[in-house]
Amino acid sequence: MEPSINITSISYIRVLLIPVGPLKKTTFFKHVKLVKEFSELKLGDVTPDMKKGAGGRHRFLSPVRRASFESIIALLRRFSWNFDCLNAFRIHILAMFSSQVFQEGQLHFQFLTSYSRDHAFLEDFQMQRRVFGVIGIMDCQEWKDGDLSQGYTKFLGMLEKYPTAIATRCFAFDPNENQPDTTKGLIMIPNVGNMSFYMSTMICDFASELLSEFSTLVSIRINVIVMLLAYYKNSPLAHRLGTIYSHRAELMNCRSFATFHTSVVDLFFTTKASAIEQRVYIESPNPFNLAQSPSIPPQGFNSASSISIKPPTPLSINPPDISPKSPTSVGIIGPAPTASFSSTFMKRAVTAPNRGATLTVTSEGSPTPGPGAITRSFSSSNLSGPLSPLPGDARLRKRTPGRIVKLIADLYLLSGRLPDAVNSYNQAIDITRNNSDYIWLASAMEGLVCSTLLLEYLHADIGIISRRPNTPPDPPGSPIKEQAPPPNSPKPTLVDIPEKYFTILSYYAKNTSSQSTPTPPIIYIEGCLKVARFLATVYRCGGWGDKTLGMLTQGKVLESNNNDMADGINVTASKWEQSLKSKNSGVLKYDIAGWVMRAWTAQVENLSTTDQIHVTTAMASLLSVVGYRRKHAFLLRQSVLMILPLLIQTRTAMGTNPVSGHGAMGQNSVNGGTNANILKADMGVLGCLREICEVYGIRVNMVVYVVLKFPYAGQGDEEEDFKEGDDRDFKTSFPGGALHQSGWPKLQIDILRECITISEALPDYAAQLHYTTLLLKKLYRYIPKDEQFKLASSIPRIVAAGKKAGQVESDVRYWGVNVVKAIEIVKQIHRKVPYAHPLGPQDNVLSAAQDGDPFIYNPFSKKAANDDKVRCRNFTKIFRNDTYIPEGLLVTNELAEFKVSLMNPFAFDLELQSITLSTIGAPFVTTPATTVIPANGFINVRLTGTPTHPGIMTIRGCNIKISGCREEEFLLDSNKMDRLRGKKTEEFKSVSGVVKLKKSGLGAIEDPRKEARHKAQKIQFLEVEVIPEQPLLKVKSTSLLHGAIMLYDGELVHMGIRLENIGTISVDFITLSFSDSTTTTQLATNPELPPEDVYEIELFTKATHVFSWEGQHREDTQIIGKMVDLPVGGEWEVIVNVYGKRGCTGGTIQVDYGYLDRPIVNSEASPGSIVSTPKNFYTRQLFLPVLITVHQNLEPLNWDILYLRSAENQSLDLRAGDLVQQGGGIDESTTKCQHPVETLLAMTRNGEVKEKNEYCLATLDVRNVWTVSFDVEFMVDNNYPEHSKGDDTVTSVSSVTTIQPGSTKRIVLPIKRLFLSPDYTKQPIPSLQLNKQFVVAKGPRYPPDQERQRLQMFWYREELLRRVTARWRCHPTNRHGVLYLRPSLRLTSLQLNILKIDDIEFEVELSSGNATDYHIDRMGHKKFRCPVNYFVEMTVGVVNRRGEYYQKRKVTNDPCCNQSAKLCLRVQPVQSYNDGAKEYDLSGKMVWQGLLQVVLPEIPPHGGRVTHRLPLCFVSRGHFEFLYHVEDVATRQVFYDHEWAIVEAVE
Amino acid sequence: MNMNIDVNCIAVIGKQNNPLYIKNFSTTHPDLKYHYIAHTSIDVIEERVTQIKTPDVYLGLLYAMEDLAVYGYMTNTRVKFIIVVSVPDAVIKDADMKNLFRRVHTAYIMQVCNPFYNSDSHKPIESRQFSRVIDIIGKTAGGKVTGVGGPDSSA
Repeated sequence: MEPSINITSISYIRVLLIPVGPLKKTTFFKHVKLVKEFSELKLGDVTPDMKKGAGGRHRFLSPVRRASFESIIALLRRFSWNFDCLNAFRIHILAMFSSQVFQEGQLHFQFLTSYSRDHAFLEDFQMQRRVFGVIGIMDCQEWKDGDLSQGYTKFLGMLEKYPTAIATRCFAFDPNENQPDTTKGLIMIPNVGNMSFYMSTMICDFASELLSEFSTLVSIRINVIVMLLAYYKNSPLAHRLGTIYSHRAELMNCRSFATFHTSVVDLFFTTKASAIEQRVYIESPNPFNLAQSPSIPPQGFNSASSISIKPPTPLSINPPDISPKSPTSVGIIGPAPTASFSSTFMKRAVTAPNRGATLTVTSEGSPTPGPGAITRSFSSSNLSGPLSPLPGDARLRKRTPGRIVKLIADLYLLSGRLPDAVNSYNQAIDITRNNSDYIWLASAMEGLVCSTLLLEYLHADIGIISRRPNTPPDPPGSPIKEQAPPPNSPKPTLVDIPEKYFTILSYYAKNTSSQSTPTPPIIYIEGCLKVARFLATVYRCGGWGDKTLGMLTQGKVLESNNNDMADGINVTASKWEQSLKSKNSGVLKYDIAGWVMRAWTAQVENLSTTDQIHVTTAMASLLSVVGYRRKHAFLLRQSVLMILPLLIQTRTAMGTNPVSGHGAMGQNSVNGGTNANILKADMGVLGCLREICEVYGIRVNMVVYVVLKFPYAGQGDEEEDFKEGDDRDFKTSFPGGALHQSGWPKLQIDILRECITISEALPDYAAQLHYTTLLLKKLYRYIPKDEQFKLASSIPRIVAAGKKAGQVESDVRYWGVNVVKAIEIVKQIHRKVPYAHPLGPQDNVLSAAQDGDPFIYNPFSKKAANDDKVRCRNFTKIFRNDTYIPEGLLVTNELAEFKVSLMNPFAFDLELQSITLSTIGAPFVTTPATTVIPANGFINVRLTGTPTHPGIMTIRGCNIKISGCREEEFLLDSNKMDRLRGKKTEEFKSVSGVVKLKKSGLGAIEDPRKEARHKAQKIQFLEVEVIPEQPLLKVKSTSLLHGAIMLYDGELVHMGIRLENIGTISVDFITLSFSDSTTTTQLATNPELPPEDVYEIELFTKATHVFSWEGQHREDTQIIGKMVDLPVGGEWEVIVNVYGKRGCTGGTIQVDYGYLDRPIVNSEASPGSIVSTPKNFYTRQLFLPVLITVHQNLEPLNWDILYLRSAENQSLDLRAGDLVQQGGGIDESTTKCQHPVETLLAMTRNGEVKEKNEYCLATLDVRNVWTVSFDVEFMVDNNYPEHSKGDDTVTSVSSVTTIQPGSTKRIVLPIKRLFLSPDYTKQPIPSLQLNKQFVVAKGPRYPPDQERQRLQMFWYREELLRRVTARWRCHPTNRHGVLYLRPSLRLTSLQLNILKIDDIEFEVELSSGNATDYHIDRMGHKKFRCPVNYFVEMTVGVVNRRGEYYQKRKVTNDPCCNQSAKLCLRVQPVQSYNDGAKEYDLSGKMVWQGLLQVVLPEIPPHGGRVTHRLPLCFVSRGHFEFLYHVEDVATRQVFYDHEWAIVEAVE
Repeated sequence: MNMNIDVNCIAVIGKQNNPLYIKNFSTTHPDLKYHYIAHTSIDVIEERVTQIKTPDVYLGLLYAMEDLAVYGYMTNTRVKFIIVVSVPDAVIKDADMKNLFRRVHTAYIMQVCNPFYNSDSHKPIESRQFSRVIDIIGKTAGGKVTGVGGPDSSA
């Protein structure tokens, strides 16, 4: 049985090609290829025999003769009998198989290079199994020195092994010119000219000889039969045969029967004439019962061979020798080489000579017509044939004729004479069916099917065979009765053939069950496979057609591949294109599989191992063709399991006998027995394993695990998966481990175990290693612990053995899953963390968004704002805004730490002999570490290293040397790490999440894998930036004790911080920033608070800084920092002011420093150069926490503002003195004023007495709540140029008071009254909070005038606070600070009225009018003395000062500047008694003329004046006061004059 | 149960041809054999399903191997049930097989209804309840209701 069992394979003539002599293998196969080109030969091309005409031994029968034959034998009626007459006996023997009769026919050669005689017992049952020809191939180049004839002799010697060969040739290729073409029988084929033409001639010649020898063969065979007939007698069949052929016998009377070399016809004559009584006995093949039932055909043949002891005659072009002179010389006969012929054979061999003798006798017997004679003539021969009679021989005898016809038909088929073959097959079928000779019947039917098929292929018009529309065949459900011959069959071939075969198989099966000699299972199995293959071919070709037929005749399923293995592997590529085509073929895959499985169902196990292997491989390949990949794999596995023991046998045998590998093992045939061949054979097996693994969902990636020496590289696509887009070689990145985790774990484990066993047995250490690791890696989850142990421990052993054998070169690659799960940079300690500050272009403009946009979080402007920020990044400008801590930043020459998470999924510990980081990019010096990952464990390891140059460093993963394995790079995809951290990016999901497979089943294994590969991203590695070296500072010392400081409220102290450069480079830039407890924990501003309060709170939290940098006065310089030069090892002191802010408990001083380096220096000068400068500069930070305690020492209280009336000098002094005494009264003894209040008050008296007093008096109490005395100095800045009259000489006053502990002192301060322009006071209350989110005010809303009042109050207060400042000093400790007045200073509206200067001013004058007899004393400002009973005239002037402010500023277009006033004046005189009582009823005390209430004419602005005269006369003496006010008639605003007029009426 | 079916194995195969449950009732063959059989039968199921437009859930005899016959059944969710029976002397009626499969299907549905069972995970079914039901189905199908648990008679 050959690897390709085909439905037409019975039409193949087997020709063995054997290498002769020293011959290079490649050369041999080159020539084999050449020869194989001629595997099909048209009969018309075959050299007709007669042309040889050597001895005139080929003659044609005359037509007359031919006709007579046809008339004689009904059975052979249609044969054309060309007798090939043997010279010796001058008998015209029909050239039965002449090529000239059916010229359209074709010869099919099957050129083999190996041949096994395992099925020799079938060779006489199925003729095509026989090797009919042997062609020796010689290479003359190898015989340069030697004699070619020696080679030829050798060839002849080899021929002995092939006794069935009836035609032989020996081709000597490439002869040198000097090599004589003298050796007889040797055909020189020079390597010049049209070699193929020459070869074709040779082959035709060869074919011709074959054909002629067929005739001979038939005769021999028949002779043998005849010989056997001699042993049996009295068969009714023989009688019948005899009668059938009786008249024929007459014709043949003339012939001498002394020879066995007769044609078939001769045979029948012989049979009839001389062996009528004898039994025809052709045994059905039976390999198992050789000993019991003498299976005649094989032995018979061989025994016949033993008749002629002489070696086979070389059959060459010149064949005079072959014409056998004697019966013994005819056969191409040699001793059978196989030992499988048991004792029976030996027995035969012994008896053979006798038989020969018998036969001779027989032939000499005259063919007497009539049954009776036969009995007589052969009686004697029985004596010499002492074979024991066999059971059932009668039946056998009966059957033999049918069998003969069948065999002849076989030969017709082989010789391409299809019509003849059809006819004989039909005959044979008839006969065998009649005899219930099922096995032969079935075989004949097979032949018939084949020949009709071939006829159809040739389009031979022998009937109605034609192509018909295809209809799917009915499943062969019911056994069909014997069909009419195909020409009459109405069914299409496609339907017909399976049906036929169904019948055939049922016949085979019937034979099996019913007879003593069961059908050899191989025949049945082959039958199944033939149909399956036939259907598969149709399936693959997409239906019935010429192409299909062509394929069928050539025995191919696919165009490209004949090989089983190739089927399996290549199927995938073209599978999908094919599937469409295949669907239309009308053949169901299921049917094909059904036929295949039918073969399996039969007793495969009864076959010999080799056959089993053949069967299974054939089945597997068929299943793979139809896409049943699982079954394919299953059968492949079976066959591999069966091959295995053979391989091992071979291997062991090889040790002693290197040539013993000459056994056919399907595609694994080992021809030479060299190591290379063994390797090739192993590859076949291993290839099967790969294929199996693939189907079971185990992805085999040989490359990854095993280093080199693996003879076959993995398939390209698999490799690519592991290349991850890097140009380096494969790396262990283990992608898709979980991704494509598909399959059937139990089966996978089993398969892999088998793989391991097989590769161990081979032994292929590389493969064994591979499968072991694969098993461990893929399926560790399913493998129990002890087995994991075993597997793991076997690895080093395999490696060692592999090394010894030279199969495994170096250490193993690590095989398991990736142990590196995550790599993280360990954060540096705080003071080493570099902070990045982006360096932007020189643009200093702050973004408009920052102040224009009411929304802080404006989503639309955000981007722009960012851009602006980027633009603002000039390190001298915006420093703090953009500071950020970049992730993954390493500093050159500083040790970096990485946290590496390692995982061990196995049940045994993994020892990492070394683990280092694997980086590319910036150079990095890593420190190796060692660790052990416990079984099923997870550990974190810290790896350290130092980057040596700035740049981008990519961390690819880790280089790990696991004990026993090579050092290996374990890559780490940072995407995966992100997933571990719970980050899920969209793209990541799409890539590594669940891959959605569209195709299910095995299709999913191949197809989407490709798609996914295209989609798959590059592995993203962790990238780390290495920045240049950074300096390092430390705080060497501070001026604080224990970092704590106690402050009084408002105190300001200096604090020194000494910094030392402990780094490797100098520091050239330092900046400080601060935070304190009051700013870090901010008071929540209640939005419902009135804005004044909000302002107050904000002022406290925001605008009052606890820390400030001494020496950096401007706000911005505080922020920016300072260029310094602090060399390595140098020290530098920073002075920081600490302010005692109430409520502050502590704070932090942050020092940012860095080495800004050269390029930045130029950034302002030449913006272009920035492009090349680094994007960021980096600083480091130092933090200095300061603990602060703030104590309140002084408490201001009871703020008030008093009206200060201008008075006479004396009285003023007195009053002032009173005041001082009053103040001193609090603490008289210790009063110590540097600036007594008197002097302060004196200042108020400047200017003319009559002038209105510009001052008012502010008082407040200050209480010392501390335990030591404080000097408090108040300073009033009265310098207020805009509102001064211009002649101010005193601008400010200050007074110092000492306050004893626990005591309270009242402070009196003269303050110049204020005037603030209406515009100024209309400003809204500012907010100190930048970027404050705009909120609609929720506070109470006031009417406009009240609102105005509030604003006025706010702004006056602010002005007042600006003017009045207070400091304290503690003499014992020499501490000093600021007294914070703000909280205590609140203005009431009354106070405000005192403080501010009104727009409307009153001027009061008392005049005597025209009278001269008295005079009026002017005692002071608005203070008069006048006599009684005289009329005096009082003038009240009202001045409108509105707009004066603007006038001064030359502003005229402002509406405020043109406010004229329309006022109503009211005057009310009262008498004031000394005791303070006031008398309002002045009737009888004074009289006045006119009204006390008048409407004044409109007063123009800018100092316009209107006077009102009020003549009056005091009737009685007394102290009169005149109260007056004006009321704006429009606004109803009332203006008072606090300094009312006083008139003292005297006698 | 008077149907005379000698169930050797009941297998449940998931949507993606992953084994969900395989129970071997025979004593003559190793479990692994049925794993192989179940795996191999996917080939046939795939073909059946693709070729027939509206396949019945019951797929009928998938193939016969040695003395075993493999029957298939596929749910709407592409979960496949495979029952391997010893080829008996009597003809196995499709109706009987269907009935058997339906019972397996019911058991599987019960299993899927378990909220703790993730039908998308590829993990084999490990439910005790399920295996008990399958046991009953397998053992009672051949008429061995008595629960003696006698070894199967192999063909």
